[in-house]
Amino acid sequence: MAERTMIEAIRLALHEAMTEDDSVVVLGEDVGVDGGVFRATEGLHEEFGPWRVFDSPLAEAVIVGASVGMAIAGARPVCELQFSGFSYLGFHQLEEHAARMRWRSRGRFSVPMVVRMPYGAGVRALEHHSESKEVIFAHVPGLTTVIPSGPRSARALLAAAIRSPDPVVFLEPKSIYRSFREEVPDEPEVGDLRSARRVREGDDITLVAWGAMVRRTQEAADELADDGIECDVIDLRTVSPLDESSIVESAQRTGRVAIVHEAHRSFGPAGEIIARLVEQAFWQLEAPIARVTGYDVHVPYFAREQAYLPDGDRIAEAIRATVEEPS
Amino acid sequence: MSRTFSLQDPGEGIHEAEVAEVLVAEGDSVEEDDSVMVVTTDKADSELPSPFAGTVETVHVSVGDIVEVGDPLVTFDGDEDGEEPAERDEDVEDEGESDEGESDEGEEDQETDGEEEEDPEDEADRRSTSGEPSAAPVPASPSTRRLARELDIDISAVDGSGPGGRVLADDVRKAAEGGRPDAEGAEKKDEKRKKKKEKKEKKEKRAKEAEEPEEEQPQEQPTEPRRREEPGGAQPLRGWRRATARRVAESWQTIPHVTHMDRADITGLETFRAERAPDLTMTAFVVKAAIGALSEHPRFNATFRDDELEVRPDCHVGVAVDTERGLVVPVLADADRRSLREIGDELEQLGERARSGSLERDDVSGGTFTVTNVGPLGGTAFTPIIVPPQVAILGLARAAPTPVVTDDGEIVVRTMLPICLAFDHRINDGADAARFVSTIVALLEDPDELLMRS
Repeated sequence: MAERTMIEAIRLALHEAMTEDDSVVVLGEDVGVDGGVFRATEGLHEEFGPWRVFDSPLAEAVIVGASVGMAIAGARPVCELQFSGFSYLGFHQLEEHAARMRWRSRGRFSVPMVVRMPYGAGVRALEHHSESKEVIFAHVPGLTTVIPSGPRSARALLAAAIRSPDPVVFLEPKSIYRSFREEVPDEPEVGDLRSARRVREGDDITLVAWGAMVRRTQEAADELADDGIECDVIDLRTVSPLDESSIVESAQRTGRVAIVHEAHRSFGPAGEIIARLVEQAFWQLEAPIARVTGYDVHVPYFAREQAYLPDGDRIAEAIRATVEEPS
Repeated sequence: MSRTFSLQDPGEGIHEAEVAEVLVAEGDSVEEDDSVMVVTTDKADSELPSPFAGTVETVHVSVGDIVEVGDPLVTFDGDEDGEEPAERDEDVEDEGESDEGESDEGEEDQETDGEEEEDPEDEADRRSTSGEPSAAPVPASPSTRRLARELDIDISAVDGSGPGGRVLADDVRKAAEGGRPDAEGAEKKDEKRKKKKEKKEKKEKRAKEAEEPEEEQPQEQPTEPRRREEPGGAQPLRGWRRATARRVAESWQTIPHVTHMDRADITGLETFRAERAPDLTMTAFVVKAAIGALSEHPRFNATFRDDELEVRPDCHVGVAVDTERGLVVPVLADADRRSLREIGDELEQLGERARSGSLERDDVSGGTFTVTNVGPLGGTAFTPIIVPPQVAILGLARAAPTPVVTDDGEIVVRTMLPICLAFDHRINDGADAARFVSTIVALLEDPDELLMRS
């Protein structure tokens, strides 16, 4: 076991998949010779050669569209879009073709491809480089949308995504690419794209988070444990399809829920999660469900970026208010 | 069609009243404007006239009940407006008597006075204008509703003790007690609650131990005060005591009080009073002096609410009166326009009415400054509590012969009156208070000057 950053864990997963399966190919802007803008594909070009790891034009529609074709033809493309903020140019290929091909062809063709893209705020970047618009992908039937919360889950979930017979959008929270290290097992580990994971157990309130927000939520939960508030923290991992049962089970037990995401508040992922809870856990709810989210504004430039993101204080405040609500 | 008379908003931020007297019984015939009950709000008793004529069908309250604005008081039976009985049945069946969740809805307050009976067809409207208690759902969390269903309790009939009248799980369990105390749901909940409580207690204990590490905490440390006899049972505060408790707590918690203390040499004033006006109380003179000083220091004759200070051009002085029922503060209206003699007479009358309990709401509201004199009972100094939204209160302790050092360094015996001005430090500073009190002292020490003040 070695301690790795998330970017190293992603590189490890790509390396393992390419070693194991010759049909896995990597493409995207600067992923080949240069090793990727965040260095996720560093060394792969040298090791696996230009036929399996290659640079694409600066054109997201081409990257996704070519991947769709390759996937139908039998390859397992893992393409990288440099930032999720530019993914919309490839969205047509993703929504109209990748997500629909199995349905459209009545099962004759499937599209086993992964679209990797760094997403989210927290690295003091420019416009278009900080958004959290996972709902855009989560809203599309036929796509699986995965967001890892750290090195170990990134490695295991990416391995699972590459093995998936259907297209997976793999959103990488760029703010935690290098912000901490974690033990990542040496032997291959393949995650489960269908289930959330409980990262802390408690009876007082259920907290749901994913991506970079998991760590902030855990820190808030640690702090509140000192005050006797025990949080059940769930790392969603796969935003869509949603692992409803894990959340519902926890909410039925605690009766109180807070959801943390950096996406905009209105029509954000929390809305859907709350709807599921209202449908499945209504009679166990003891308090209104809280959400701690980004605001309904474009992600600000770096001076205000942290003010946009849910932080420990906002999360803790929402937890306290929810736990203290008389029922 | 029966109609319900509910408690109306008396204004001034009062949301509830205590039922002091019920003047009608079920079956009584009542004319419009007949008094149906007496309620106490903030120490004033008000008779409530009936807005309807009719026969009393149900009296919803009894003496001692605390009723909130919007709560039904009396339901009248009256057929004159000829609504179909079917609809009424529906109302009754639908929700039973909900007496919660109405207080926020001004609409319903209005409707209960029955003037909007001919509202259009809209079902919801008709239901709520029907005079029955509101059909709106009572506030309660889903889990509490489920508990109520499991315990077979009609949640709309449960009094909510939570914020905004919310029905809490505990309220439901209490309602269920005697009915089906062993219901499974309650047990489960109780277990969870117990667990939580234990956890909390454990934690508190830990925290306590951390504070006092050297002190061994025995497991069965009694937390109740010791009692020699069987406990008599704790009782909720009622009536005036309750009103006083709420007001002083609110004042003390929200106003940063500072008390400035001084003494006035009233030897001369006492001589003057004995010779010229033995029937006037010292309080009357001090009120007069305070009014004189207030005109020079107007920021003490003011109200402060919602972060806005209003320095008042008019002056109405509250004077605390100790009665058998407790403390009450009638207000001497337009005090600045009265002569010393009028002030004395008016104070006497207000005191009389305070003691007989015949003060009206108007008599106890609208003060801009307050004087409280505990001198007749003793005391050398005290820190009075401001009556919100006022910004200061003048307290008098017992005037007594006191050794005083004169300017020449001699010790003489003078009658000294201790004066304690509590003021809201948000509005005035210590220096302002010192100047204000010095003016009062100067006026009390110079009866001629005092009488010159209009």
